[in-house]
Amino acid sequence: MMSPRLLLILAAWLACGQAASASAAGFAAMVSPPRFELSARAAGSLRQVISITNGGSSSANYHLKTAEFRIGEDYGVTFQDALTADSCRPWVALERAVVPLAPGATVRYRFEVHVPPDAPQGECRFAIMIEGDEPYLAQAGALKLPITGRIGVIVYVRIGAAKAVVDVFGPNVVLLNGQRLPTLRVHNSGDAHTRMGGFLTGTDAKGVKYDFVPSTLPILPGEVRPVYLSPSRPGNDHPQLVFPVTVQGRLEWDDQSTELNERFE
Amino acid sequence: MRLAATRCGWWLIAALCGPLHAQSALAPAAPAAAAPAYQDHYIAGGTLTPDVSPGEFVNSDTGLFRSLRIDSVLSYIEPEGANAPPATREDGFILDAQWDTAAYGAFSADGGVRLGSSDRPGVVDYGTGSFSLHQRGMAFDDGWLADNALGDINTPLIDLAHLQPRFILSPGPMEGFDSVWHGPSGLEIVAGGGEPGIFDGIKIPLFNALGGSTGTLGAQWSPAPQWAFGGELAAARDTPLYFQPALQNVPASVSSERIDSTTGYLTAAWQTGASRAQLNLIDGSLDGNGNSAGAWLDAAHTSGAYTQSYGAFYIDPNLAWGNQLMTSNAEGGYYRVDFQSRRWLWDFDVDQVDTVSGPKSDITFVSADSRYQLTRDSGVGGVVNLRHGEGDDAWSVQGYVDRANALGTGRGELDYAHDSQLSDYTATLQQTWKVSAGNRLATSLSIDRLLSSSSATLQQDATIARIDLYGGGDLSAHLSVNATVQWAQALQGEAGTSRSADVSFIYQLTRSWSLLADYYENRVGSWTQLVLTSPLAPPTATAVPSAGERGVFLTVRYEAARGGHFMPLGGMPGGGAGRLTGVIYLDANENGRYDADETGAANVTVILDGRFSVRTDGNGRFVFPAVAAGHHVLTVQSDNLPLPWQLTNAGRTEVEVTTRGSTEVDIGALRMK
Repeated sequence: MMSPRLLLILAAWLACGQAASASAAGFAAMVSPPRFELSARAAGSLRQVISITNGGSSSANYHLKTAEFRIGEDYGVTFQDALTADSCRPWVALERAVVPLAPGATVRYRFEVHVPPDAPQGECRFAIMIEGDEPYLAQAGALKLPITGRIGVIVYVRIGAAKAVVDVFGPNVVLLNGQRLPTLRVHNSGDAHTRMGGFLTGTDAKGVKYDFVPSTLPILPGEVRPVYLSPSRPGNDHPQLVFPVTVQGRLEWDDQSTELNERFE
Repeated sequence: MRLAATRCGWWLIAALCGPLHAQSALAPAAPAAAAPAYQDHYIAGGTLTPDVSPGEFVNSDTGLFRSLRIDSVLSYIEPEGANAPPATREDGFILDAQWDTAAYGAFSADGGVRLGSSDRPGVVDYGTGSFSLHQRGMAFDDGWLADNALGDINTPLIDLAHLQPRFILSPGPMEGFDSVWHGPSGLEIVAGGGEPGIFDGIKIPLFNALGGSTGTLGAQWSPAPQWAFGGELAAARDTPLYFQPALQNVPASVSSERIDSTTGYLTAAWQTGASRAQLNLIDGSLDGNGNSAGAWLDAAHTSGAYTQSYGAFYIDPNLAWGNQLMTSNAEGGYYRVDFQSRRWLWDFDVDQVDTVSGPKSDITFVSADSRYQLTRDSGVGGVVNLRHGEGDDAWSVQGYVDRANALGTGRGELDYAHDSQLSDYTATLQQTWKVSAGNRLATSLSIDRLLSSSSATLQQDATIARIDLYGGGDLSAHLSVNATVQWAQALQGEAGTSRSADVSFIYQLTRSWSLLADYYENRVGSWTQLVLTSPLAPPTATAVPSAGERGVFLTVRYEAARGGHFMPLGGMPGGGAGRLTGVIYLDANENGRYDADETGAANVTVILDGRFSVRTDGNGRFVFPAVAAGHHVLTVQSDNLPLPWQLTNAGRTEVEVTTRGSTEVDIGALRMK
């Protein structure tokens, strides 16, 4: 009997390694843009368009609905249908539930966000899920698994003057993909998400100078996230660092920044 | 995404398969939800009519890939300016076709036929049509590949002749044939010949033959990985000399006299990973002016973030390549150093150019250009050019600030240029606007104050306001628009108005049929900005007669494509295909973006994977309507780029095309320095 965990890994392998054929067989959609980062004020409204193209060779129905999303500790994303307590999905109006598309046809799918007059400053976050008709059987050798193809478009709407408030602490060193990387931990105590950036330079134990590029994964309000500092040199984007490493420069997010001068070992 | 691989959950698959927030998710069917499902709200109760396009025109079957596009064009063109001739028309048909074969490589055909006989002011005559047929990648035993072409094409050049940082051999347009063979050990043989001519036409590509003949024969060989040697012979008989236009939007011109020329070219190149050097020798005669010779050496070395380039040259007067006049009567040298890091980008050039004979004109040209990224969202930069010559001193400075803002990316720029006759102050605001996916919009607003110290340049004494716009995108699932508009008006002084516009609306009726409506206008004002760019180009802006034309074009387009798509290198046959579009433009401010006040390059050949080719339209735009999904390489034959513009590394651009997606790529040409 195959364990659930093994099934899970096989499913992941199926979905990744066989993505092209799975798409052709059951669910093939091109969606643009992959995410929205919008601003609105209380009592304001937004109308946006998602472009969805049927990439398959036969006609298909695409089912659309809103969902909550959560970014896990490992930056994996989970979606859920049930409303959370602070959900803003009731502010959202979609164009329709189902869109039939001929092969190669594109729909400009409209959705609106109506911010209530009494909406507090903050950030409205939701996903628009685009799904195929039915689960289909994806096959890897003798194994068949029911797979539902779906694409989630993430929407962020900043309400009023919401912004991220960031505290940086660390330093730390983590092993990522077999490479030891200097890492900071970042706490966002504000009311909007942010992404880190900036221009950092540093020197490793051999005296070799590097530029360091902060990872730009989203940090949602209330979260503490690692920010990996990846080294690069002209002509070598994957150098091996010799610790200890010192890093200086300005770490930036939105229109704010902080000076960094840290030793990682 | 590898971050997520350490832990697994059902939705982890989403993170594994796509960019984190692209959220491409393929996941097992969700179990029945315990909580009641949320019921979404719908706009107007879900009664909106879906805005759905008819779909792409590609149908797959088991045959090899083939596509066809035919435009049927109706037009009305009205010349403007003093003594303007009567209105004329450019009606006719445009053809573009590509097809793949198993044994004879890939074919590309393009052309146009103009109906009617009205003349249009411009070059020598108004051509009645053009046609070219290219065959690329025909394989033979022992690794040989042949590319052949006939029709209205450009004379062929060996690859080593294209790798020129300073002096280029310009392959001229001709009506004839060429053949290029690639073999083992880097062997390349080129040959071609025909009647020289000029490309013309606003929408319909036209070729105007000039009479006489031109021909070329060359070869190159690489006996060792570091070494390559080559040579080529070019000749022209009883044909006018061809002059590249000195200004954008101005037609090319030819000499009134007919000439004979014969020129030989030899080259040797050495290259390792970080260093390259190439020696070039040229010898020939132009119209019985006796023998002329030249030699130039270019070298470059890259070390970390630094690249140093240097060279020396000596070229006698009176040299031509076929019927294309070469830069000649020059001797001197240059040194250039570039530095690139994440934050800094700077270069420094110094050139010394003297004349070999005739009136002395020794020129020293110094240029420094730097850009510093202040923060993630803002950067500053500046350029200084100094030109010192015999009574010909000139200088210019430029400073700018780039800043990402809530509406997109903006630039504020101040320029000042000065020579013996003019002072030119310019303030410019550029903005690339943040618009929804699939759309683009850039604008530019500038004020130009030209102060003339010479009565000969009275029309240059003016204050000019200029507005530029470049944009496009989908207005609905059926209707899209592309627009390039440039307008300049004298607020003070006698400078004539300058206007150019190309606004196209495309309405897709069905999968294969579309309607296009274009408004076109090209009116060159009687003034030009003072720009210092190169020791080889004169700095003084030229006042030109104010003239132009405008018109409307109505086009019915038919497109069809069939077949399993050709196999890109490393790809799989029979996969999906997408549209690959773009523009070849003249990147005047070298910021790597197609700004509103920049110009597209017309009639430039763009090659996909070394196999299929298309030619850019009057706005520099090109389209490959059906390209196999996957990784592809675009290269550009810069044959018809106006001087002194050139493309780095033949405009080589790597692109990813997605199934039924539309990929847009802009390739900028830089001024040769």
